[in-house]
Order: sequence, then structure tokens, then C-alpha cells
Amino acid sequence: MAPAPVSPVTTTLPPMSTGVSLPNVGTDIPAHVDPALVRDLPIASRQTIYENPHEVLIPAIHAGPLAFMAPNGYLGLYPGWVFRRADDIRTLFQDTQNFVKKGNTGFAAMIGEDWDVIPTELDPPRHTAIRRLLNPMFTPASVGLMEHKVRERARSTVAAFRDRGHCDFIREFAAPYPVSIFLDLLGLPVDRIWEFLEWEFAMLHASRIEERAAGVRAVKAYLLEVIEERRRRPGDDLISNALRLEVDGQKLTPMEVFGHCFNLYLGGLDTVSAAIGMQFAYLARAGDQQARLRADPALIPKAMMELLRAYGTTTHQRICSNDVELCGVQIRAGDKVAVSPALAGRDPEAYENPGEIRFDRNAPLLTFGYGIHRCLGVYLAQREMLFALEEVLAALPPFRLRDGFAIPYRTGGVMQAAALEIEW
Amino acid sequence: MVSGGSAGRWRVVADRAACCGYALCEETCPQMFRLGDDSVIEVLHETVPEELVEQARRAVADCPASALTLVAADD
Repeated sequence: MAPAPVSPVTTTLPPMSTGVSLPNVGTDIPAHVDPALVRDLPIASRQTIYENPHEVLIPAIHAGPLAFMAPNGYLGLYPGWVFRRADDIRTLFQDTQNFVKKGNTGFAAMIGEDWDVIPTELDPPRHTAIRRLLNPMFTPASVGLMEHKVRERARSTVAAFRDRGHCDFIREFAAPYPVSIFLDLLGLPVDRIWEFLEWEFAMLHASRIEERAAGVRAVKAYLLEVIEERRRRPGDDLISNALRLEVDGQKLTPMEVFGHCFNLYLGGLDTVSAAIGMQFAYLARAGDQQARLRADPALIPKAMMELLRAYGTTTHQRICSNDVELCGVQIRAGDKVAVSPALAGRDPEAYENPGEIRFDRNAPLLTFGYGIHRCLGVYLAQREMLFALEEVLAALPPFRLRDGFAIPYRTGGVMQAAALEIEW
Repeated sequence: MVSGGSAGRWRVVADRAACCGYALCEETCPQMFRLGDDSVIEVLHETVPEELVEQARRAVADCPASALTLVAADD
């Protein structure tokens, strides 16, 4: 066991609820499942732990069976199949016939409604039509146009605390840097960043379903208001753009516009922060590796990809639409499935000695997903992470964890360090 | 999709109507693939240079829209 933290966590992000009260866990395992295949998925439940989930929990999962049914496998709340190998995870991502997404995030159902988070909850052919409209806004070339601004934001964010000798890296960099860029893209007020992050936190990290639902309601009410405002006064932002999108000459319906804005909000406010936080949590603990990057910054792009492999933060969901066999287990239509890039990145069959961080590994990744639902913002995310590593390493002298500080890690659908007290 | 034998020269056939602009091919093998101004795939070499065959093969296999096919160049 890692020690409990001896220093107070100074972040003002809302605290994780203590005690996990999950409805129905373990009570509605599908009847066809062999009880011998039932075991918990420790990374799925919303909890705060003081050992690194990738270094402790995930290797233990890879020491177990190829497939199992976790009572908390689906959204940390409901039973879902887990397949731990990268090859099987790639298959699940790729097989859009048998593993569908309609309703898979559970957000609309959480507030008793029925709308799609777009594009992530769509299946072909509607998904194809809408991704085709969205992809051009997020190509490497499109993102390249923002490069200067993104790098400047990284520089100014780190400049604010570089002379202090210490910081909470999550609160002062990993959260505000990518999230403020994203709020600019949506044309949302950056001075409300902490309020927006509170709603995101409730939706994604609260253990109680009522807290999650309250987050969804807050985001929905706010986005509907903003969409109405942009309808009257369109601007040069992604929300105004959603109102212009047309498939075969037909504008998206108002609920589709909302569903897309909801997806942007979900994707933009959490995942890049989580990844940057995990990467710097590693570098703060691995002084020798940090020194290598400082000595040879040309290593940084490949190092970033390797850290993305080893510290993938997300676990996604699919719903099985036909009876299918995988890894010798029967998945029935209606069964839920956890699809976890975080697990894939540590698969010993796919990556030799997966616990070792080798900056020159150059291995294929599933961290951004695979197939038609591959992360829409992947190239923006990669630019943000690259500039974070380059600019922070350039601005700060060698940094380490503050003496006596134990990193609180949140497990769940997006794993992350909740705070990261470093000093230099 | 990959067809034909494993030796010899290869070319990539792109289905421009199927391309959705995911740009993964460009990321995997930028010497071989580029998205044009319309965000649709352009194949940069008639035949795949030998040193790029493995990367090109990966780009073809990974294309989310299944818009790429690797075929023997003498077909």
C-alpha cells in the first residue's frame, strides 16, 4: 500500500465523494454468465487511490483471465464484459456491426431522456455522414493553423508559476491549459472554467448517480442557452459551426446540434488534462527519464507517444447487438462491454515488458481508440501534449514530487491524478 | 484490405468517395498519404517505395473508413 498523503491537497476541484455507493452492483449479472467468470474491474469504479492505477491495478488485471464479467464493468456502475488484450480491444473497436454505441454513454438516460451524444453515440450510416462533416475541422492541417496559439498558451500558463519553486501542476497547468484552449474554440467564457470543470467532474467522476445526473442537467441547460444565443448571433466558433452543418442539404435537428455540443464539452474538458497530468506524474517520479528529455528534446515527440501508450486514461463502452463469441466466452445481444485503451497499452502480448517506459518504442497505440469512433480531437490533443512537454521542460528546472506528497489518483472512465504537487 | 502476394511492388488504391478525412493514413505514413484541401485522401506515389511498404500496409489496415487497398503493382 502507498502511504496516505501527509500534505493537504490544495486543489479547489470538488472533492471525490468518499465511500462508493453503486446501485445494483453485482445484482444483475446476465443469467447466461458463468459465475466463475465474474470479477471486479478495479479501474472502473470512481474512487481515489494512492497507488498508480497503471502500475499496480492494470498489471494485476493482465495477470488474470483474457475475458471476464465485471459487476462494475459498465460505467463503473453496471455489469459489463472486459477483454484485456490489445488485439481483442482492437476487434471490439473495429466490429461496429456487433458492438454498437447507441445510448452507450448513459447520459441522456441518466436524466430520463433520449438523445444522442454526437458523433460518439451514433452508429453508421448517420455516424459516417456526420464524421465526414466534422473531420475536416480537426485534421492535422486545420489544427496546424492553431499551433502558434497553443504553444503560446503553454508558455504563458507555465510562466505564471515558474518562479515560485512549486505548484499543484493539475490545478495550475494540466487543467487550465488545454481546457482554456478548448473553451476558446467553443467561444465559451474562460473565466467560468472552474464552474464548467465542476459540472464535468459531476458527470464523469461522481460516484453517486444523482450527482452525475445533476451535472448532465447543468451542462444541458447551459449549452441550450448558448446554442440559442449563437443561433441569433453566429460567430466563428464550433457551436456556431454546428448550426451550419448540413447532411444532404438538411441542417442537423436542434437535438442533434445540442448532442454534438454536449460531445464537444465532454471530450474537451477532461481527457487532455488527464493525459497531461499522468505524463507529468510519471516525469516527476522518474528524474532520470526527465533528464534524458532535457538533454535531448528531440526525443520528446516519441516519448509523448510512449507515455500515451503506458498511461492511457480512458475506458469506453459498447453494447453487443448480436450473440458473439470472443476469447471463448459467449457475449449475448444486449450485454454491455468495457473497451479500455488503458488496459490495451499495458498488454504484455502487444508490448514487450509493458511497465518499462522506452522512449524509442514507436509502437502502435489504441489510446485514441480505433476505427470509425477514433477520437475526433486526436491531432489537437497531441499538439497540446507535445507543447506541454516541450514548454514545461524548457521553463522549469528539474522538478520532483513535493517532499511527502502522495499523488491521489482517480479511477473511473477517465483516470487521472487529482492533484500533483511538484517542486523545483 | 490487402490483396496479392507479399513480394514485389505495391500500389495503394484509394476510394475517394469512401474517405471521411480521418487523416490516420497521413499520420501513419506521411510520405505516402496526404489529405488535400478538400480533406480527402491523396496518394503521393504511384507505387509504394520499398522502405515505406510496412508503414503503408499499416495505414491501409488502420483506415477507419476502409477507403484504402494495397494491391500488387503489376496487377
